[in-house]
Amino acid sequence: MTSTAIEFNAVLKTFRDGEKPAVDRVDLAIEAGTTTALIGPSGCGKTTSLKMINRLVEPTSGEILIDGRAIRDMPVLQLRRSLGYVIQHVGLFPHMTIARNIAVVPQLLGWDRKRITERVDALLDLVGLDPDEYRQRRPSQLSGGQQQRVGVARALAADPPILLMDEPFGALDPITRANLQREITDIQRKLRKTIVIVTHDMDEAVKLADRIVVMEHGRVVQTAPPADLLLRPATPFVASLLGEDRIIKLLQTTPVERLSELGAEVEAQSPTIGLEASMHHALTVFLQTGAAQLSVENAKGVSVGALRREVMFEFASSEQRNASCA
Amino acid sequence: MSLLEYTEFFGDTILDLTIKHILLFGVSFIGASILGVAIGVVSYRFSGLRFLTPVVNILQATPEIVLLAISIPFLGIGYVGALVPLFIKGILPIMQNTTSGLAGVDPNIKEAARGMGMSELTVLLRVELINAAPVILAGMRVSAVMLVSVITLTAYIGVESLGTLILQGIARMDANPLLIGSGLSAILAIAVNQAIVIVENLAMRRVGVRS
Repeated sequence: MTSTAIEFNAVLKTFRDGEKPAVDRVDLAIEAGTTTALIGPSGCGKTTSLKMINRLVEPTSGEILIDGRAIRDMPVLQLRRSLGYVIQHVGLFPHMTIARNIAVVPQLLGWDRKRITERVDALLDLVGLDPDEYRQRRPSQLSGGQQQRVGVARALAADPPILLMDEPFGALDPITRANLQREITDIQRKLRKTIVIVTHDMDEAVKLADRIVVMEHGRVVQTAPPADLLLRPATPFVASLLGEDRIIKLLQTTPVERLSELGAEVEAQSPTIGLEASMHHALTVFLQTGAAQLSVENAKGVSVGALRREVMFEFASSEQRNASCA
Repeated sequence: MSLLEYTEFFGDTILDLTIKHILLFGVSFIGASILGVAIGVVSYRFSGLRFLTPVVNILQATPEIVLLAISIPFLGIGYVGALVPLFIKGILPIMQNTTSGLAGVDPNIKEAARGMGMSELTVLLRVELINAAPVILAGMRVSAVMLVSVITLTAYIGVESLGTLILQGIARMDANPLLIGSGLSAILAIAVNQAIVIVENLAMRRVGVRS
């Protein structure tokens, strides 16, 4: 059973009269418990769209619903306290300790002190920071990556069902970014929030999102799961956004299981690959070993079938053809 | 009469004038601080008030003695006529620093605060003013140092302060009261400056700025 958590109905935003709309009659339905990435170049309206969900920006016309209720009719402070919000530059309060930063929304909601303390420690654990070590620190004593972990913890503090993230990892170095992306995926597996993430990084969108919404000039150009988007970009613009190495990204999102022949005989001494691994990983193994086939193993390390190099090439070239036809 | 003998002989008067000086300073500084911050906040929130900036700059550039002279025909001789112009002058740096301090607070912090559901008043009190505090305090320091020394001028319009000693010194060509009056007000100014510097440093550490 899926239900729509956030819905945009013909949402239009014009910042100044007579100017081109920043967001142009966008319709969008975001399912509960999924991660949706809004992607596009600067000025495509993705951040404006996000900020209209917590009413930091009010739409010029159209309406946004959360769980079927028009947010225009909700008290704005209450609405914002019920939505987690993570921004690119983190925006931790420098005059408060880490614990008090995380406690902001619970305090606004009037939780008692004991509940807040427990919640803060649980969240620090969740984002991989030792509570005893970090609770009393100041934001200035943390690295950029640690600060953003706290930013995520702060957004999750009151356990909001929806998490809005505005280029959350944009200002981090590639290694820290990859770590945090992995952790967000883990956290999401545990918590099943409805996440809306704004990004201009297609790799990030492919890694994190269940659905990608591509925007250009304030309009939604294409909405699709990552694999579909990689296979069938709707316009040359989407294709260019996906990049030259689209096929590599496609391999990243394709599990070995999909292309392996289960039950097939495997030559002895074949290199092994996990069933759950990505085809991108399999490609690496093929390149490193020069093998023609890999032995596919399940989680217990038992061989369950074979993955042949030709199958991968066929898959890749046929997908490539499909894509260029589209 | 040596300086020491003068001090011994007029000790009570000197003490009395010093206390009066400090009181005058205290009243005008506290008043200027409250009003300065209040007006600063208002002009930060309502950009429509920007047209006041040139007026403020002109007032700022006018010498205190001129303001005092102008105030006498309107407010008369005495405390009111002396304090009001000083008070106005004291407000200006605090007001300007409040406005620019608030404007200088990291916009990401403000956005995070609003996005998390803080009311505008909570954002102002718990986020903006605290983070603007070092800048606001710097304005208060400018104002305080100016007030301590400028209060000596009120002696010209009949208000007793350390300025009274300075005027006596000038009138009688006597170095003793001149030195004591100006020396004490200089010491007061330095003390006030240092005290606020300490508070400023505390505030800077609080908001994570390294001094």
